[in-house]
Amino acid sequence: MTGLALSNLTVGYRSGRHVTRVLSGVTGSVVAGQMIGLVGPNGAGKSTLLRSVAGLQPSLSGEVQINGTPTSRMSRRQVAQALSTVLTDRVSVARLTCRDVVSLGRHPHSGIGGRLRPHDHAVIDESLTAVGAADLADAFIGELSDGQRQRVMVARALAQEPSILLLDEPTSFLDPPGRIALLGMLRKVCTARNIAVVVCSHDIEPVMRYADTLWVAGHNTDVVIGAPEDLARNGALEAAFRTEGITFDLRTLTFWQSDAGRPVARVVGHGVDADLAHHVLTRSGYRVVEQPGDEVLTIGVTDEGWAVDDCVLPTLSQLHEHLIGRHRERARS
Amino acid sequence: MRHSHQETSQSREAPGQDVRDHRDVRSRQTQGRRGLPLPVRFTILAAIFVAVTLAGLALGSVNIPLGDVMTVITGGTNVDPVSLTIIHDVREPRTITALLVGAALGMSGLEMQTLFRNPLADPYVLGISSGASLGVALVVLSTSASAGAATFASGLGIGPDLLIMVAAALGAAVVLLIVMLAGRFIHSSTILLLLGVMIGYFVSSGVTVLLSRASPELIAQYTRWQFGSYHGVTWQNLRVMVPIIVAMILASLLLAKPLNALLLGERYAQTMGMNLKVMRTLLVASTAILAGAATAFCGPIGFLGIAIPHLTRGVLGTADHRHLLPGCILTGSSLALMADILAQLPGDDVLPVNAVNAVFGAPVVMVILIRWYREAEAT
Repeated sequence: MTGLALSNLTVGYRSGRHVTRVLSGVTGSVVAGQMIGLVGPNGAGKSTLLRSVAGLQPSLSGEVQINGTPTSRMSRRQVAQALSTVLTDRVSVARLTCRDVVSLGRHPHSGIGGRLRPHDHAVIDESLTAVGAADLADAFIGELSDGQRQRVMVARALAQEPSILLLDEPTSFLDPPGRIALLGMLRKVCTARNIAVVVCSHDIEPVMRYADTLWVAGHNTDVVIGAPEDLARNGALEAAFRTEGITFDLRTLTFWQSDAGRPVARVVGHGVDADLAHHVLTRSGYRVVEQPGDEVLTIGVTDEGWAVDDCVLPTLSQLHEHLIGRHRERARS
Repeated sequence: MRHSHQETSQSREAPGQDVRDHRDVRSRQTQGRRGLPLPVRFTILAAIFVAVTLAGLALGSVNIPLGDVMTVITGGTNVDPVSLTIIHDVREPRTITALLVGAALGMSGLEMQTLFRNPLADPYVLGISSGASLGVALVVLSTSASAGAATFASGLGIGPDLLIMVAAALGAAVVLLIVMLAGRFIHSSTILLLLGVMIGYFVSSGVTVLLSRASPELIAQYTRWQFGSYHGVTWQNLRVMVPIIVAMILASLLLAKPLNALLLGERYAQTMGMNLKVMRTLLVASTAILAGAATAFCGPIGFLGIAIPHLTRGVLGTADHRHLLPGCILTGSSLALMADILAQLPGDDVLPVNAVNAVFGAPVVMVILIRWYREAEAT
């Protein structure tokens, strides 16, 4: 079987006789071409699990198999030939070009002197192209933006020609478009090169859009595995990220502040203008419902603007002001 | 004009680039590596090496014509007998020693800077040379054969010479291991450096205590040795020193690959298949033997270990150890000998070589410190 298999893996820290279990009994597998999102709140043990799989810290019990072979029976070099990792460690070395960094990925394949053959150079070029960083090859790593640097680090991992690619919080320093761009690129690479990819992230919303399967690690819960939508539906995501007053909205697959107890409003109409009105209502402190019944306010979508309380407001900022004004009036009476 | 315009418009509209981060690429002009190709830079370094070596043989209290120097080193004897004696007995040992010590200190400095991921690490600053001094002092005092010899660590037989080498390397290794152990717990580079400096003082005070009971003659010799000099080294010392340093330099060239992996940090190095324990042990052994062998007969030589790697990086424009290690051999040996030639210039009153080293070494360290400070400010 090509890919990664964890059976009953327990990870954590051992200091003297004291054992701290961070995640217990993790069983799961990732096959070639599959992308896993390992998600959970900060401190749930995602990174510990990832580092244990990467061989950077010993696991407490259980087994990790790479392409059918337990890692306990593999040398570090053999592991590195099949599995590569993008860590959170910040890399900024003076006078190191991106090509130099990506070349380091050939280490598990090169000889004792680290000499690169034509095939190695071909793999390095190909890796840079795969992440869209071919034009950065001769730039120094220190002068790149966070997004560019992260791409180069992924290229370095690809240059190891792995069948499994692990990434620890790859999006954490990136802005929202950068996150989507990086995950989209990873998705492409995963499918095109038939690599098993595990992305560890607390950035659940963008990860859900690309991952085939989620592994959810919560603070006091075991790792739960399933399709993103199923885990959203059965409440596993909400349970893992459990925070007072925050709920997971199934329609948008995003986290929201709980809207229980808020005045109810309804939008009549369809299309982008209706969705934007929905957004303004939520932002102004309303709970938006689909079915008529207990709403205290209705917004109609018209060609001239948004109709509310016998007036038509041409812009959304005016709609927002109007809604806030209603709150004030209600508070006064 | 028209032709070039067409070319640029074509290359900008390259298809299949949708995954690229457009904003980044457009807004930032990256510099990248520029200038002369590497082989040319190496040729320049090699030319400087040859020139400095010849100058080392020709220049001194008595200047010998270059023609005579060439005759002597090619095996001829058809020169003034005084010149022949000076070249053979004084200049050649001095030149070989300076070249070897420069190469050894440059390489061990480079290894330490990568190992500690600290641009200011070197055998002198972190107290490794002091550890070597302690080893040397222990051997000299316990054999006490040195009394009456020209300098502190010469005039012994081959056996004691080897013993001094081993003791210096062991002393260096012990201090290096202590600093590395401290580095496990202290993640601040600045604190680690200061700690290394303090360990150096501590070990030096150990040497002072040891010497307090020695004869005044030995103390005077030690004080002179402590200044650092390539001149007391004899052909007999070289019979031990040359094979050890040359073998260690050649062996250390094989550490280029693990050193490159360590550029990204220990964790990344491990994910690329590096056995951290084995490689760290080899690096410590290499650094300690190189620094110890350099210190054993010449005394602690300052600033070379810190300045040579930076100058080599600057000249070669790379961080790749496959080029930096051989580069450090060339710049290190040239620089060490050049400093010693300058120390000879005053004529009869020879300057301590460490004083000259400090003149060019201290500014290099200051530039590094300022750059470091600016980077810390920027982030």
